[in-house]
Amino acid sequence: MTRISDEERQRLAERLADALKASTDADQASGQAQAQAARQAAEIEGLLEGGERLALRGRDLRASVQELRDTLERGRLSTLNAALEGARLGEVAGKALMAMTDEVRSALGRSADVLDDHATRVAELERERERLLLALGPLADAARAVAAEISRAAERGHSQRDALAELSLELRQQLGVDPELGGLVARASREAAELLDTLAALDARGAHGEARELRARIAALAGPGSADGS
Amino acid sequence: MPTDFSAPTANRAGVVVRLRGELRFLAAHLVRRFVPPPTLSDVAGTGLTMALVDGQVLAIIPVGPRGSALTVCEVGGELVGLLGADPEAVGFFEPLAGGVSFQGQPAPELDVAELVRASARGTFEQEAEA
Repeated sequence: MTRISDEERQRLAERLADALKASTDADQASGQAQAQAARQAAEIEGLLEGGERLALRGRDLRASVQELRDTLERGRLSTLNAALEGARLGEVAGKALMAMTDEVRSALGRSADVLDDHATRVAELERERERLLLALGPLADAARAVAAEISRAAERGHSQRDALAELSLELRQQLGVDPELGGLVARASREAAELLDTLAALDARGAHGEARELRARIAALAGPGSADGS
Repeated sequence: MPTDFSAPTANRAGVVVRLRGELRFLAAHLVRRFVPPPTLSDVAGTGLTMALVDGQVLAIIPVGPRGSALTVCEVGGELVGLLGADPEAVGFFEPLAGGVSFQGQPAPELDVAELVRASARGTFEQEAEA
């Protein structure tokens, strides 16, 4: 084993622990990003499928509008035929029939106008749907590209994590660097520094009794039993 | 639109049709009914057009674009279909010389018998040329 100082070993262990943690965090973030990208791609695909279903419904609507238009036209011809009968009856005898057919024809005309409005709106909806689908197409492509890129990044992340694990093993074997131990020591150092700050703050506030009690508890914790790990 | 029903009975009963953009009048006794434009069949080598309308085979005289209705007329006891004469109004119209007035515009009478004769002449001429 190559000999390095304890201080260097600890520093290496801490850096390695940081690197391993960063790698694990990146791995988790990558997994979340992958899931999010997959969800987005699926949602866009769902919208595209919805657009296709809307197209089918639009076709049905157009067919039913045409059927209604034909029905109204047949109705209009029927009123014309009835009016023709009224005309043959003469101005006096046919008056009621003529008046009735006029009224029905007028109502059919209004219905035809409303139907034309509906047909126009259906056509507008259809155009709007086509515009949306045209806009969604590139979005779907982009979402698929992002998902693929995130997958590749995740693979690279896995490779890096594996390389880091190998490096960690090598450092442990060659230099006795233990990142877990290094991390624990680093954490203990940070917490000890915080504890000293707290004691100083208690003393500064004149809380000497509390500071003394805290020191006694620390001494009890750091006693012979704790020092050998028992 | 039909004229005022309370007007004197001198008004003429019939149909005002639009034929190639022009108003024409058809007397009520000539017109049998209006039907949706049927499927047309050309009779090979004769120049005649026929159609099946309500179970009857009718000679069709195209007088304009297909339009929205076939006007079935009776000429000399025979039924004939006018295709392209779209009905504008049915009722009683103020008579004018050679036709009626419709919404202040003249609507000359359409001579269906002459149309039939002209159609037949056209067919005979075609046969003669052949």
